[in-house]
Amino acid sequence: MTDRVPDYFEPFVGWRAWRVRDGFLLSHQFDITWPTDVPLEALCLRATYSYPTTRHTAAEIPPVQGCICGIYAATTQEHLLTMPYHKYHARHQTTVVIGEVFLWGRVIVGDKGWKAQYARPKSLLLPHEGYRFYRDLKRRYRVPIELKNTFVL
Amino acid sequence: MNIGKEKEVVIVEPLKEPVPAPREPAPAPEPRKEPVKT
Repeated sequence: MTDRVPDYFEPFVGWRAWRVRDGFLLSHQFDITWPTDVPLEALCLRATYSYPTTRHTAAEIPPVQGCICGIYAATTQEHLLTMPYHKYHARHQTTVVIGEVFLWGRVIVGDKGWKAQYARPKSLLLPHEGYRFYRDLKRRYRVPIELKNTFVL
Repeated sequence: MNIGKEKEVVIVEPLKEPVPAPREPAPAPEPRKEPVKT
């Protein structure tokens, strides 16, 4: 966090997708397990992944405009569902859940979503075929979970 | 994820855990009404 006067006094609530592995939430694109007891904090992974990004110093706090860093979320469920996460699910036999996520800290505002410094799940929509993860996700993340198939395969 | 055109950077206050509402004291029992002698 910074000492700057906040622009908003309540976290943003966005929509995103996760993979489920061993009853934990993982980021969709990167192999990052979401913690259960503390918020996820954004790191810049540009040194790990060879994406063309804006260069910035390590001292700059993610997310940085033009870089890939930050925790991504769509502003609406409708926009999230336009992205092909369900195709990934079908190809890799991975359970994909979607849900609401709190976002705060340093946040980059986009036309259709946000990139945030901190995030924590708010609620989850678990597809019926992933019902076996219900108890672990509920116990670990302590958020409301609804069994619902949101993707049309 | 496509978040569209990046417009601005803002600072958002952290998530605050919901604070349980203070327990309200139980209402005092109504005084027992003596039967009216007639």
